[in-house]
Amino acid sequence: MATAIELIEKFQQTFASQYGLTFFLTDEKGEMVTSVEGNNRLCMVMLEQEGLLEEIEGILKNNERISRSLIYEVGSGIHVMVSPVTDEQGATYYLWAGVLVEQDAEVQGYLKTAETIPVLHEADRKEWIDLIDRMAELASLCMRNEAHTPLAGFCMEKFRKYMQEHKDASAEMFSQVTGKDGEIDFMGIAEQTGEDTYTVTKIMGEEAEVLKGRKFLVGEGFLGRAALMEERSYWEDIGHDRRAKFFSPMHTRPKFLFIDVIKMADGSISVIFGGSLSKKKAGPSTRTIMQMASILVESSMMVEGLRHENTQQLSRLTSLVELSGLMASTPDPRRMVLILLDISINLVEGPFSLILIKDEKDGKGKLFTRGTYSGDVNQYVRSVMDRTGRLTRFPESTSSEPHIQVLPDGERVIECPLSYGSDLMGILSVGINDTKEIDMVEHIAFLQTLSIIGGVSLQLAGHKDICVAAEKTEALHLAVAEMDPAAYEQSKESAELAAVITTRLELPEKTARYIVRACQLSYYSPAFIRKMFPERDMGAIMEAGSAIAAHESVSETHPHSTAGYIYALCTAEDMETAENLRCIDSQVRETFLSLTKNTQISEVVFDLPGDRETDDRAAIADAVSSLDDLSPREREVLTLLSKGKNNQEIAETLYISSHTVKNHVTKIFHKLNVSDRVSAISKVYSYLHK
Amino acid sequence: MNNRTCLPLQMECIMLFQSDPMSSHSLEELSNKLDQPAEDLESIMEMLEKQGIIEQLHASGQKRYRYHEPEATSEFEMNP
Repeated sequence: MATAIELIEKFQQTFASQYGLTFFLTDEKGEMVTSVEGNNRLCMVMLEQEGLLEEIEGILKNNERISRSLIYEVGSGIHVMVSPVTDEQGATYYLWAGVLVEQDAEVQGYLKTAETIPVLHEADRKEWIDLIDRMAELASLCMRNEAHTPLAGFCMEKFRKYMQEHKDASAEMFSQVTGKDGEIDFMGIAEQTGEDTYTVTKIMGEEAEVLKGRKFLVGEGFLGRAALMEERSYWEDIGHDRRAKFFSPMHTRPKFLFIDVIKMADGSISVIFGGSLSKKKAGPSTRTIMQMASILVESSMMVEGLRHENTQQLSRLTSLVELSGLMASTPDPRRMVLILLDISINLVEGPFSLILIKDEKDGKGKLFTRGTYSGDVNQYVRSVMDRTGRLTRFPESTSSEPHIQVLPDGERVIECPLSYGSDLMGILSVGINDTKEIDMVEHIAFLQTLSIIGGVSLQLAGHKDICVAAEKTEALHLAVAEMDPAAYEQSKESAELAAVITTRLELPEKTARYIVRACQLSYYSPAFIRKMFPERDMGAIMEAGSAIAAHESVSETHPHSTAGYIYALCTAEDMETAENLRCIDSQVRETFLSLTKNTQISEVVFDLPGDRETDDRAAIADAVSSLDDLSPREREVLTLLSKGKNNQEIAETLYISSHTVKNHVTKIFHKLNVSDRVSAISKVYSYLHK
Repeated sequence: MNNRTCLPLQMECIMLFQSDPMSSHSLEELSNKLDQPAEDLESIMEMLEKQGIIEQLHASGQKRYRYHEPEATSEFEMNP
């Protein structure tokens, strides 16, 4: 039969392996009472080489100060926990557990190899104190009941093994307690399954199995009272007490009842209970066994809770990795939207999810919904549009972070902006039910990650789409060179002119892109371009432009009247034809006229002689470098441009597309406040000759 | 299994249904495709059906499930 000290050592072994600590018990002079249990390497070094025991003796000289559990800093950033333990005769012992280190503590000097030492975070301090409290309570129970030796029968090895193997250690404990020839006939646990509802999830005892799955409300009967008061209680001779009605299905009601409560990490309460069907009163040893079993079950549940939490985090991480992979392999933005919609409602288990998104192809907003939104969805859409300036800016005061929004009808949603950098592309909104605060924090974190993945994927899908259209345009344009070199040159000049005009007029990037491409493809019929690019505006711009060129009536309110007018001007055969076009937009006309003269000159002056190029190479680079506003890439482009290279040659030299070169050139014009290549070159030369 | 622990499997199911919205699957077929016990999948199917992500087809005998396209997709002008 094991002694109390042996039993304490077994408990120490169990807890040491779970928490990575080393435990030992000393008397009030600092003399070891139990063996040192645990594999905390730093603690062992401190004990063997750094005089921890002497330090402890020093601390215990003022042992009246240690009336409760506390954490003591034994070295720089290195801590031990201590808690007083009293036996039946009132003698005091001290349970020590260590060591914990602060996150940035320097411990490498003590250890030859890398070791994992438990970290003491300020936020976790109370949890560590709770742990040493429970251990000290167990040790006190052992010390006080040595004479009765009722606890010696506990098979701690088995209990520890169950915990290490992630098996249900509480069931093992219940089985040990009720299976002995003692006074306890049943033992079980009820977990919180609703705000006020508790359900028996585990129970041991021959007649008690019928209670599994049985529910009670907070405040109802003995068990409900414990859940309400959140305190341990013991009831004797309750065979006829109506508060024991919960146990009626057992045919025989309990005669005495022991109840304890456990606060779980997620804030919920669990109720542990046990009792006898025959004895009216529990002996002292039985009460100790119940108390001890309850503490051990609480510990095992806490460890299990932590493991479970880790598993869930890993599972969520796995899900996000899979989701990222799927998004990356999904070329269709619509499918991406459906994935976001379904995953978010599935995760939050809310009543609905919806996505408001800008469709870059047709410029329209689109609404996708899943589930049922009980309010007026149009009103909500209007509210989002107002708060985001029609999806052009993040909702005020929330920036790009997800946030909880209360809707006019009182419904709550988590709103997550779908963005890429500072560009807002849409809003993912997920309705929430009565969700626990702890779940809400997790949901928001997960949805934030989901919306970031969604935003990036949508942006990439859109960008890919743009690249495909650009490549198609370039291919069609180059084909013109084969069929009709003169028409190719003309369309190239038209496109360059259109690029400068649209930059001057500060038209939206997308509109400008379509006009320039329409000019590049002006050799083809609008009907053909519509067929080739059914989702883009080039065909419509060409149609409007052709109508303007043919002096047909095009209303100023036509969606592509301005773009069509620019197209008609840039593709006009000569200046006279252009000037004779009906003016649709006076600003466009003025810009065109102010530029065309310079453009014509540029044709003459554009090509610089090769030998001069060589001579001026270094000087040009120096002159360009003095233009502060330009980016390094733009300087490279301008240097090559000043040497007389055309866009294609610049593109080949810099390994970029000619389209990108064109964009750089347009930006350079804008920054240098010039309208054409000649002016840009002359600006460079004016610096060169300064 | 609760919703949190079976999230990866739920996602896998959603992806499977989305990848071919018109096709329907029985529990056994899903079990073979995903290499998961039919019992685990049944509770997931119930959850996804409740959330409106999939729908059950009323074919005779065997339960079959199909992706349910979002109920409302509407367009609105972005210009003021």
